[in-house]
Amino acid sequence: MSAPPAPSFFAGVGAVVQLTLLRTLRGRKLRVAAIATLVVLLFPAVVALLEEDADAAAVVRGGIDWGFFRLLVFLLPVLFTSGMIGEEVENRTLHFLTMRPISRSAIAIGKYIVGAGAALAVTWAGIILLHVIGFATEPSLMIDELGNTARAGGAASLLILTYSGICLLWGALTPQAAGMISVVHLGFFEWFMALVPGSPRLVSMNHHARELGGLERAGIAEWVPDIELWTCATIVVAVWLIFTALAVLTVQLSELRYGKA
Amino acid sequence: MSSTKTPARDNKKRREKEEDDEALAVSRDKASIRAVRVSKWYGKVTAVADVSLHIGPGIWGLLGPNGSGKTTFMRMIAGQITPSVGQLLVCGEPTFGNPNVLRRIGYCPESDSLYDELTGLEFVTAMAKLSGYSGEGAKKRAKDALEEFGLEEAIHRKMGGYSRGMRQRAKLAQAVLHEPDVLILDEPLTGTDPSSRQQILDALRARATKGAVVLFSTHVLHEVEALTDRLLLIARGQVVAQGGMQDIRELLDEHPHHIRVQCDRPRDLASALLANEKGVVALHLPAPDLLEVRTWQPEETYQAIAEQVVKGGYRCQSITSPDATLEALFHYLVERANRGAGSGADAGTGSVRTLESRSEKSAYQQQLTPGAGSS
Repeated sequence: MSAPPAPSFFAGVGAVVQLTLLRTLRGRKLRVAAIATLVVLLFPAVVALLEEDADAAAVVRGGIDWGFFRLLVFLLPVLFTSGMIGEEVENRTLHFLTMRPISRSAIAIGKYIVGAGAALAVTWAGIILLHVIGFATEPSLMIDELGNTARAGGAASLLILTYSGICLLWGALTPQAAGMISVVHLGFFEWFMALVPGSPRLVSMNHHARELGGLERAGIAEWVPDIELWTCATIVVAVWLIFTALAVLTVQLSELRYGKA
Repeated sequence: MSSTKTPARDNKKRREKEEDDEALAVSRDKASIRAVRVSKWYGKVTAVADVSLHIGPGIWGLLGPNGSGKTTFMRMIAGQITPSVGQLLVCGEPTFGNPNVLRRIGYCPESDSLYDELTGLEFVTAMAKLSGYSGEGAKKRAKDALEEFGLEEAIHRKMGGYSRGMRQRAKLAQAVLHEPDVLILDEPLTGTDPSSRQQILDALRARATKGAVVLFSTHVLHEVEALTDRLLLIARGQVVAQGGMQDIRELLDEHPHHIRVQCDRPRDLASALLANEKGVVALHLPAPDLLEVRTWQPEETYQAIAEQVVKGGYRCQSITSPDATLEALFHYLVERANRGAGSGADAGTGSVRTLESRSEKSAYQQQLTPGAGSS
């Protein structure tokens, strides 16, 4: 018998990425995400194309604010990442990965890369499309406003990376209810808390990302402390890394509820 | 006193440690599975209880009724879960999260879930890449493995459209593609037709001939008979017997059988049977139209019942045997093992032994010794 040597960590991550990417491209989730993004783009597109007096920059910012920061940054990570571990445990297919001579961390990281990557790809495609549609009638602004749109897109990307880490963690901790618990977590701590007045709002990464993206504060913006942008960025990055590391650690150490036959 | 005893004790300990290290070094190279007082429980439910065994190259059947702990035990061996207590070593090393050992293990899980959106070739190629092969090498391995199990026609079809037997064969292909030293197969013949069953059996035999440990589970006795003579019987999480098919057959014969007769005058039938049948050890009337017979000679008793039914003109609805199954045998063995629990026969290993009456005790002990399991 001649089993080959175990692949390196990075080769393992690469193999998991390849497999997960192929499954994602073939699956329904990508189509659902694309349709959701097109629906989100519909409203600003109609306004931009039909309202001759509309402020194009305001339309694009509004589209990013309402469509992305209040909807898609939540929807896409839940859609792509919360089920990455949980669905495989539920479907009893995760054995095929965990039985292989690769580190379990490699499995978690590979799946995170594909889940977060897919959410980022859809987000950026949507933001670029929104930018093009929004400034279709004013081509000069399309170039001038590129920086602002890219800044908002960058903040949304950071948020998606963070939310993907949160969803991956809940998927590893509670495979059977990953989607629901991720929605509850993001809905309360991220969506709702980004609307409340005062310091409690600071627990929401959505609030910090909005500051980074140069968007207006949402909800009741009274008594919300002003924080420097680099501090906002540090907080979001720290939360992203903590949740993602916890998710990887959970996959590494947990039996992932294989116990129940 | 203590000063004279201590060096001797130290020497003994050192010797024991050296022997252990030596045994471990041997078992590291050699394909083997070794469990030492392994238990696994989930809350209050005990799935595997105090199992100790050592098995070496060859084909081993893990036989047990549904819910007996086979799958849990196999998952532990395959590194999917860890024992709650005890030590489980494959090729001398623990398996959970250990790529060094996992590369030597092939596992075919019981569930027939697959990645339905992938083709057979894509799936097995991905598994080959995860096993350490790259590029074309992985694809070639995958093709060979799929062809070995007769799936060459279906390699480009999505697995969502595979029949149950095809799914089973795809799972087997991914389990063997990297030529593992230890092959763990959970109900590998489920859903397969006779011709593919033969292909599977041939493939497993070929691996065992090359020196691999092949451990497969089933709850169907004739599946084991087709493949091996080496059996582990598991029930209620315990290995209740270990031995050859003949031993199991003898145990089945030894096992007192129950026969249930539903007829109009069970009391009369009971007295007629008592008068004529030697093998009958007990009679019971659980219902007005029911007679339960306990016998050591089931064949003769069936014959006698049939004769009496005809002779006495009974109106008989049914003659059934509620326990002429492996399940009943396991139940019987567990009871027997529990009765003998105080004997200390296996105090050193914690496992339950039921075949020692036929002088296999030494063979069993040998099997618990590293390197001797294949004999």
